[in-house]
Amino acid sequence: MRARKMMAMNVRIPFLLAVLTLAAVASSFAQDLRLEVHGAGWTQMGKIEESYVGLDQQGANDKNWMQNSGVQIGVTAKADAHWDAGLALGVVGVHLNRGSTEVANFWYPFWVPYVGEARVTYTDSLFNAGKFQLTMGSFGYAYNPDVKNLGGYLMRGYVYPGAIESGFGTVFGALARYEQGKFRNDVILKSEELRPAYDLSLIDVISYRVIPGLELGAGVNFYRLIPRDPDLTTPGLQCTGSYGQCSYVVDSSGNLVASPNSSNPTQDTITGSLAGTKLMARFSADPKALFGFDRLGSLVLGKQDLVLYGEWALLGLKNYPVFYDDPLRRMPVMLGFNLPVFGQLDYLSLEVEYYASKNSSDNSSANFCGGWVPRQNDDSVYGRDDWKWSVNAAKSLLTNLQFSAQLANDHLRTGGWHNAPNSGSEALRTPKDWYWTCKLAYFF
Amino acid sequence: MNASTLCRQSLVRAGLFLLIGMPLHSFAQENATLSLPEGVTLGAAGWLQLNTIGNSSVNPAISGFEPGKLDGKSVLGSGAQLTLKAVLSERLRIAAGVGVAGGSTLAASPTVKGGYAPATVDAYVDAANFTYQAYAGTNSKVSITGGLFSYIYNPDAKNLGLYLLRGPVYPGILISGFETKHVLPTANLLGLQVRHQWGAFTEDFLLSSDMEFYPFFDLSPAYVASYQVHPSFRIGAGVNFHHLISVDEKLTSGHSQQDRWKYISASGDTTNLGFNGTKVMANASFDPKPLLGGNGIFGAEDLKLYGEVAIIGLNTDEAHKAIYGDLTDRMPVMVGFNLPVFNYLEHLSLEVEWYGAKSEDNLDGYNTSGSSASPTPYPTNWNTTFDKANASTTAPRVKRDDWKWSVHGSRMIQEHVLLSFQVANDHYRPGIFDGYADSNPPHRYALMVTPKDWYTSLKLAYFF
Repeated sequence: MRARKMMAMNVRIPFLLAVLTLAAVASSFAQDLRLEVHGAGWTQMGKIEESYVGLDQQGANDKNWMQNSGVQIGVTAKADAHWDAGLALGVVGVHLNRGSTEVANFWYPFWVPYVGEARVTYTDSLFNAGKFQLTMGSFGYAYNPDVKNLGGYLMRGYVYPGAIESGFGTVFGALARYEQGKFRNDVILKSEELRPAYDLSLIDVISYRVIPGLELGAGVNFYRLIPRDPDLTTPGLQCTGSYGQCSYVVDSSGNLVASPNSSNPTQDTITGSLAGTKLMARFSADPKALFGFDRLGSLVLGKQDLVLYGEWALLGLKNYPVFYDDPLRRMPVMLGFNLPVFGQLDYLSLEVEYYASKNSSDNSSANFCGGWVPRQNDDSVYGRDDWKWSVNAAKSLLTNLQFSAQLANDHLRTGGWHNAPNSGSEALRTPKDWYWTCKLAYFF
Repeated sequence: MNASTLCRQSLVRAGLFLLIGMPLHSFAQENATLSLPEGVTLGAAGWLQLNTIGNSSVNPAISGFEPGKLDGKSVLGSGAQLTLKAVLSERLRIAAGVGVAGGSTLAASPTVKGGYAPATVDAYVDAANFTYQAYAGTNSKVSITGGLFSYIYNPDAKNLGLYLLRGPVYPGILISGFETKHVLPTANLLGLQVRHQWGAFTEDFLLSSDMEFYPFFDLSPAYVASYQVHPSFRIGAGVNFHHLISVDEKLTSGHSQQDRWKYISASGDTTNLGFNGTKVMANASFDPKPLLGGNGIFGAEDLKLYGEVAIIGLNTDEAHKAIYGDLTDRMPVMVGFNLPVFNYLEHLSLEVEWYGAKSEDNLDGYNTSGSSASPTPYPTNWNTTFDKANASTTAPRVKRDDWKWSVHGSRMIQEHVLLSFQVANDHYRPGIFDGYADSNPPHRYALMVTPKDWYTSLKLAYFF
């Protein structure tokens, strides 16, 4: 019930935005609207085969079933060559983390509404050369179209703590896009959904198609540049919750002092902030376009076959003693490759990630009370989760159906309140952990 | 509260209800023009609903609860939904629909937690499915439907019946109610349906994932067949292997926090209890009008006689007999008859049910939220603990709720408004709160537990 209330609160603002967007569209476009409706439904199910959720619970998520299903309906409206808008509402059936058999009595599904899209877009030419587009509201955004699971570091997750998130989300804010020829620049003002919510981040993403078959991209995210409440984003000595830590004490050698002595002049209290700066660079190389071939032997390659792509990021430019003292440990790197499937599948991708952070991947400290210091109480060896991998495949059926599947050891967070009481805990933390999931989607 | 006072109150409330509803009805008649792509249709519906408890003898073990205090209490509900349906080709159709429903609930007592009974607003999925016509011959068709879809194997049932796919097996608690998703064309099943039609014969192979009853997401294969013997006579039958395919065998087989659920007989024999089991069902419908030469002065539904019988749980070992009774105790029987209303109403159906189960009509044993939740295959009147060694080998038989009845009618107004009503003594369980819902989910006792209990329902729905 508590989870439901939280989700309802999260939905409230986007829903209000959706209503306002709809009203704006309806009033301004009433004369000549071209409406296009679309709908989608899906069923997804899978299982965590091996897991590790901390010293006390270890494999409590082993053999846990995961399932969700839902629906989304939407309308896009085009008034003229300049103005268009989109609105989509959906409902998804989800469940809490189940955990071990002993606490499965708390396991139940429930429905959660969400706003898939609530945007208005203005498009025009700029200087009679490039194309300018301004989008406001709630909308989907992915700067790296190759990514199936890992990567996307610039937009997802905190800076401090640098706990990486999987999955895609919507941007609630504004996007100004300028495109000219092979160049594209996106400037985004994003209202953060992770707590403390509604801080504003300023992001710039560029991409450049060097030659056919080779695209480069880069970006910077001034994360939480404009805080809604500076005391939450930069909390000083004390957090207001019980889960987090906002300061710590080091000695003159920079080592953590477990039992600080306030009168010791050689000790230094370190305070910090959730705000920080992320950098990102990426590439995508398609040898088919680079070297001008479309088949291997007699077999015709699919559009995505053989594409090699990668992404690098630096999560936070500022060093803090002990936890964030080495920039190399704040650099996730992802490499992906689409295996040749010759049109038998839409794609079959292998993605691998290396991230040498020795901090906990549990982001609940930040999410609960603005604690920018990583959690330290649920494991003793954080280095076992440096490598992540994901195998993704999809096959379109009858044009309007798609079956997709994933096997992965990624940043899956099952959420919930049982076994792993803090929903920021990752479920897969050792090399032997993995899960699978598959999905059938139908859409028009 | 005496019956005349209650009737007066109900009429006043019904009048107010209609006054609120009719302006919305007038809105519904104003047609907005909306051009949609070819093959796509948009549907929408809204409704208001009022249930009023006439008499309830339920006496749950809740601190501060006073029997009879629910008499005269009303439960309001309202909601709206939007649905898109797309015919994408001769073979493929897709439907997507969302809805939101709100309603009030009941407090166990005005003195417990300040009479806490939250008004709820919940989203739901009306449809999220595809249907693919896999084969279409001259006299035979095969279609596959997947996702969240509506499935009603007995189109005659208005309230009672539909035993095969509603409710758990152990204990065999029945589900009913007024205009629930089980009798409306809205999603009530998540899974896959393969339908084969061969002339007048139709068979459905179903594989459904359980979203209502613990252990969640277990898969239940089922088979339902029906045969239109004559325009006046239809028969049907089915079997449901409830929770046959577990997502976690330990949960389905009755493992819980401290131990697994088991029954220890007087002689010391131990039987493990689980949540899985088998249901079988047969139903029939007889419409004399074709034999009389057509509808004549009667409405399309008038004079239909229909019925359904099921066995809920086929295990007959000593433990299952002791807890759930003989097979006759697990055999609900429903008979319905559509009274002649000569097109003044769409239908006016009287349904009567007999079910000799020993169990208390209470789903609290399936609650899965709250600090004390402990799903159990035991009926709630067994008062069992995890350690069954000292549990009684019998429990008092609950008898006074064996008979149920329901009168349901509806009237369509200008093709877009439906007024429906019901008076019933059925398995209505609106939820009784005796604490804050974070730690105390509502109790799911049926409110109608003696022959003198009844409640009324009224609904105004408007749709296009």
